[in-house]
Amino acid sequence: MDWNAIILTAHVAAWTTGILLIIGFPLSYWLAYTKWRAKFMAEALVALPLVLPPTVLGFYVLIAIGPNSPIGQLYEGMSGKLLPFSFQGLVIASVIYSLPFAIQPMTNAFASVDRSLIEASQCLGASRWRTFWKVILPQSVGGVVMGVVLSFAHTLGEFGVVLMVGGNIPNETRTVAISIYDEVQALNYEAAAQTSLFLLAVSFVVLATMYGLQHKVWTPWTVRST
Amino acid sequence: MDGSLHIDFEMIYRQGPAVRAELRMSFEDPQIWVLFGRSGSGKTTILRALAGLERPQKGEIRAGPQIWLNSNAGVFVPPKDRNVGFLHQDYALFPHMTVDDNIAYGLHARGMKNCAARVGRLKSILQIDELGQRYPGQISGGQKQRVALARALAPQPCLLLLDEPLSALDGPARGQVRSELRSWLKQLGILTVVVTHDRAEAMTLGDKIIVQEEGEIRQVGSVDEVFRRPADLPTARCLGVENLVSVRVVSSSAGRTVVAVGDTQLVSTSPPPADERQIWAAIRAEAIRLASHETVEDQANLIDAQVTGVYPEGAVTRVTLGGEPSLVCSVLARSSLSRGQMVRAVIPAEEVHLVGRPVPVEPIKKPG
Repeated sequence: MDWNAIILTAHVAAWTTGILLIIGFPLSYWLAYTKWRAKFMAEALVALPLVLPPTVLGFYVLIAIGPNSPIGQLYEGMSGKLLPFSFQGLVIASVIYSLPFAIQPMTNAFASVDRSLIEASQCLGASRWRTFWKVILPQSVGGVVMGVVLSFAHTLGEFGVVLMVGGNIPNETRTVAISIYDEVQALNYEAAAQTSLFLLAVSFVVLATMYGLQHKVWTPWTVRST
Repeated sequence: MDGSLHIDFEMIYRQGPAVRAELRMSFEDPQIWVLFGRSGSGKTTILRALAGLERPQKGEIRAGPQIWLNSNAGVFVPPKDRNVGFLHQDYALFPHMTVDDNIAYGLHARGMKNCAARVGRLKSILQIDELGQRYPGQISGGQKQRVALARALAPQPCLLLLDEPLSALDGPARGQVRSELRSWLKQLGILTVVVTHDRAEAMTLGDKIIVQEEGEIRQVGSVDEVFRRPADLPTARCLGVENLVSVRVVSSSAGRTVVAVGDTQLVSTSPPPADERQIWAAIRAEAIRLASHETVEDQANLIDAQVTGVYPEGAVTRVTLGGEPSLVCSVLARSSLSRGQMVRAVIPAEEVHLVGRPVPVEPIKKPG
């Protein structure tokens, strides 16, 4: 089994999930509560990675972070390195690719919080910030966990975007999915089978845990009666 | 807070009638105001506008020295800065917090210290001391209402707004809470506006009543006065006056108007409305007394009629009478009336209240 690839993939997935959580809170909050008429445009934009071929997405990300782009130049000026075919570039691509998997469950969870709870919080003198942390977030734990787990699991298995943006550099951008592809190309079926099985098992356990938690008692307050 | 609450605003909707309100309520002599009307009459809109949960397009709301809304100056104070207690119809308790944390929420949000003492005091007034560590999912509907009331009152609001406070309760709890609620509110001495469409609730809870119909305030006055003397026909309908009989004026002199429906004449102490062509006599069911055939009384209208229906409704029994006019009256449940029986309906002249079509409401004045 290619442990280097597995550890690298876990790193990419962890970074991606962390960044998505930070972006996801404000973006999902905005999508859930904005009264902007053109909100559907933003929703469509966020959902695009779901339908675009990874190659198309990868191509645009490559252009966007390339040495001729403002982002690429800014990064090069700050670190002296190039973004494409680097770990950092890979994380940027993964964040965009997994965006809908984090945003959609979180937006749905925020939007389904009982409106009267939010109003009650406002009338009791709470700021938006306090209302979010004390009322909206605790009521949306399920959706947030789902967003985190889905974006993590989705990043573990990505292939096309990694190949386009990251290439195939061991210990830098060679993730599990790429490693499996390499082994198959080299007719190392046994190694490919081991790594595949490992990825399958991890993905299944992660998803099963999430769905299991969703169906079970989450928190003490869901207890109906004593 | 000193002074009074001035309300003068208009909310416009793309569909349906606009909601207008012009009112003045004193903070110094805090009373319980009932905002009464059918569903869709705009009463909840007024309540939400007072809380800052809705923003009227035109007008002004002033609470003592503070301006909460002034559409001309573009002033709008959000709910969190108004210090108003708002009780939602479904109570909106935070399900993930204990009763204590729910009650203390507003105190923490306003950065107040030593919350425990105030939470404890409110819990003892509302008799929910033993519930502190429970979650809202673990307590009864009546208890939830008390917790929600304690939570709304904890930050010492200058104004308490209750949206159909009893509608989520059923059966015996409702009747009990209805009378308790008034004594709690009176004990706390806070200006309160209660939205309801229930007559019994309005009568039990309120000092003053505001009758709202199709977005307009029809009448404002003491509960007793308004129920006895509705201003016009739609108000009487809205208040649920059981007998509204179309009549014509026969004669009218100082303090005494004689009207007729068919061959029956009725004496009323109320002056005839301006437009004498369209007049209705509004007679409340409980104002009609049923007596035996031989009764003779001065100063009263006596109508002989046949009982056409007897409908027990718990404490009272509703009786319908045939003839002209046909009447609905409510009598004590014990009375032994049966269908077909002849009775004499006794209606005091002061209970025959004459109403006409409404006088058109003038458009709202621009503030400032």
